[in-house]
This record gives sequence, structure tokens and C-alpha cells, in this order.
Amino acid sequence: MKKDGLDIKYLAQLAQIHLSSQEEKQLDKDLQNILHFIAIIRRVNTKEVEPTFQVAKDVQMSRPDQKEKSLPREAALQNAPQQKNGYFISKPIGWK
Amino acid sequence: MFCGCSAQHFRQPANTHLCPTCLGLPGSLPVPNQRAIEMTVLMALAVKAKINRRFFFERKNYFYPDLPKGYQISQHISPIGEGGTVPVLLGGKYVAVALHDIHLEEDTAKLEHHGDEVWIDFNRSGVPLVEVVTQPVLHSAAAAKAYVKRIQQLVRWLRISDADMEKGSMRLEANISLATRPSDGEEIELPSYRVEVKNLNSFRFLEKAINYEIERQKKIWQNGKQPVQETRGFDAQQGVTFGQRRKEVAKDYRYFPDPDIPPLELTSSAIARLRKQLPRLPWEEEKMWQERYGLDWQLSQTLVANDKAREFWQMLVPWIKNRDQAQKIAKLIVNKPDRWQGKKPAKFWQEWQKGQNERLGGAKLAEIVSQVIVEETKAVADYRRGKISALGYLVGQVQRLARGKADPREAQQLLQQELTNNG
Ligand SMILES: [Zn+2]
Repeated sequence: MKKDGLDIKYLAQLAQIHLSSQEEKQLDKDLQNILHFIAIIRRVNTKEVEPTFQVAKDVQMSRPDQKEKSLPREAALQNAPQQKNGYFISKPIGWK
Repeated sequence: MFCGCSAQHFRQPANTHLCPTCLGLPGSLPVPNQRAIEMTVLMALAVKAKINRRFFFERKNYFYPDLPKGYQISQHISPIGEGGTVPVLLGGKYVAVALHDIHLEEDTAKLEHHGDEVWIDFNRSGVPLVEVVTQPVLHSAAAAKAYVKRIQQLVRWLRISDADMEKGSMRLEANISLATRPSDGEEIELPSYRVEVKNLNSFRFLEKAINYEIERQKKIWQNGKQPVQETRGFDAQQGVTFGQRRKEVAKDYRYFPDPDIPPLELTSSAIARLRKQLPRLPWEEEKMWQERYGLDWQLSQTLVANDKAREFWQMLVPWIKNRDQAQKIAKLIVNKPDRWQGKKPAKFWQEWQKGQNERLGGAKLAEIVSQVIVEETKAVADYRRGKISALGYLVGQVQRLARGKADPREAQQLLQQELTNNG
């Protein structure tokens, strides 16, 4: 863990992606830039402003508890990189 | 939860209840199921949790094959219910188990591991899942078991789910860490780690897994180390837990509000309407029988916990005239199911009353008591030497001669009288 709080290796591990050292360097640079950008935004005084994480504020959206038609299995599986007996197949993913 | 696919996932052909939304396909839009929200509110009301009238869903990010989107839609900072308590009977008294929160999320896919392959069935992913999270207040496997049983009872009581663990409609997760026992009056200082044992599908496994973890972690501490924070699985055949992955800490999940789902608001009238739907709760009913008829806690709990027994009992209640009758009937229903199962309550009541009237007492009973005292020389001698348990045996012998018709209390009194008078 670096002192600025960015740990590319750990982030890659969380996302389960493999990075070459070249990519690590590049991503580190990119993420540092993003953090820098955010640091600038944080200087803006937002004391009187409500947080906006949602623009559709006054929309109440919910569905009735009704069953709808699902996809035929072939359709659901058609983009699977690998399938067998109606299952999606993946490699095991875990933490080292 | 967020689409119209069937929530039935037990023994269904794999991957047949899927749509673009629960498959997480680009361009699909999740819309929360109203009924699932109401059920969660109902649950929260039942345990007197604080209801967050304004709440929203968040994305919990982690990468694992059981999530098609790379995140699970869940709740973090605005769970539907916060706090609350669940009354659990522990060691003969009620303990209020404090809750952290009750939140609503989508379930994840079912995985099967076949060698180097993971087979994924997404039918379960997207099914509404209510998570009930306690505070770190349970201090033994037995307490944890009593608590989860209570939750199952409540969920069934409120008709939220069948909570059938074989079908996967209820699953248990235990977070276990060992702390130093505090000195009297001091609060426990929580350790800085916790081990989560996931996907326990029976009460017995929960108990075993917790006890196993206590021993495992104790050994690590005794070796001067601290157990690592991790997620572990439970191997039911071996009765052991095994490391699965390092457990993420909350910030690793990078929770953020799901931009696709606008925040929701529960109106006071909606909450009031749900509050009205709330039936008398299991612990309230237990208390009611205890107060009205003097049933002990254990008996009233067992009576209320068993659907068939409870139903039968409720049909007899209008005829019950006094505490004595109530206690006898309750005990009989709980302890001797074969005496009432399959019978009509009216018929059972008639027969029971007739049996009561035929109770042996008075001179006839005294005669049997004398006979037993003469015949059971060994037990009589034992009792006189101070072996109190011999009395129970003697009562049993009286009952045998009386063909079960003796009033046990009266028989015991008579026996005690005779044994002390003619010692
Ligand atoms: Zn769906």
C-alpha cells in the first residue's frame, strides 16, 4: 500500500484481473489523475448543496409482484463463452 | 426482485428463469418488486426496527461467478429497517437479540464446482433476499441456533417465505471472532477481525461450524497469533470449516447508489397499512398463554412453534375452563401427539373429559399406593435412605397398576404421606 492510498495490485485483485507491469504503471498514472481531479472538485464549497446521486428524484418506480415470461434457455445462453448441459461455465475464481 | 422472472428456483431446469435484467445484459433496467419491499417492511415492523422511510438500493461490487453484473444490488447506508430486537428464549428466560439492520437485496446464482469448471445456474440470481443482521451479541453456538430458529419461525409466521433450508429459501451465515472475556461489568472489546462461515443450510451445521471455529481460533490465539479475516466454507461431512477467500472489508465493495433505481419513499399510510397486517407475534402469543393459563415458557414456546399443535390447541381453548385443565391439555398436546393427531377437537375433548372423570382417586388410589409400598421394598428403602428419585419410580408403579388413570400429583402426595407416616 502506497502512502497516497492507491494500491493498484490490490485493486486488480479485487477486480480479478491480471495486469502486466506496463499496465500497472499506466493505470496507476490514470487513477492518480482521477484522484487529482477529484481533489480539485472537492475544494468547491458544497455546504448548502444536497448530494445528488440521483436525478430522477421524484420518480417512484416499483413493479407489481407479477410473473412475466422468461427467455428460452437457448436465448439466455446464446452469448455464453462456454456452456454445458444448460449451464454457463466459468473458470473458478478465488483469492490467492 | 428487479424483474418479472419466477422466484421458484428449487429443482427447476438450470437457467430457465432468466431475462435481460437478471442476466445483467446491457440496456436492461431493474425495477424493484413492490411486494418484496412490503414484506421487508413487515419483517422490520415485527422486530420494532426503525423504518427508513426514504431508502435506496446500492451496488455492492465484487467479482465472482455468482454475479452476472459484477455487482449485487443491495442496501448499505439506507437499509429498510435499522436496529430492532428479536426476543429469544435462552436458558429459561427471554433475551432480546439486538439487530443491526434488515435489508433487501437480490440473491446470487447457484454454483456447482466440477473439477476445473464452475457450472452456473442463474435461476436464483435476482430472487428477493432479505438479510437480517444481528449486532455482535450472540456468545455461543446454542444462542445463535435459538436465534435463527426464531427468525425462521417469524418469517413463516408472517408468510414471507417458507424459509425451507433444503430448498435454499433460508441460509445462515455466522461471523465468528474470539474476544478476551471481559471482567465483570466491563463491555466486551471486539477483536479487529471476523471469520465468516457462509452458506450454512441447517441449524445443526450452524452449531457445528461455530463450535469448530471457536476451537480453531482458540488454537491460533494460543500460538500468539491473530486469525485472519476471511470467508470460510463448511464441510458437512468432515464437520470442519475451510478457507475460501480473504474476506473483503466494507470499503472493498465500493458501494454506491444504483443510478438505475431512483430512491423510494414509503408513505405513512403505506406503513400504517402494513402495521395493521401484522398478526400477534409468536412471542406475544407465548406470553399470552403463560399469563392466562400459567403455562411455563418452555411449554408455551413449544406449543406455539408447532403449527399443528398450535392449531389444535386453539380449537380447544374455548372449552378450557381453568388453568389446571389448560396445563394438562397443553402438556398432552406437546408431549403425546399420538393422542390427538388425526382427531376432531370436539371428539378429543369429549374423550379427554371422560378420561378425567374416570380418574382414580380416594380410597381406590390409596389401596394401590399401599400395594405398591408393600411390593416395591427396594425402592421404598431407597427413598427412605434419601434417594428422592425413587419417588418418581414409585409414582410410575402406581400409575401402572391404575392403568394410567391415577392423578399423578395426588398419587405422589399419597405416597409421600404413607412413606413418612409409616417409616
Ligand atoms: Zn429476470
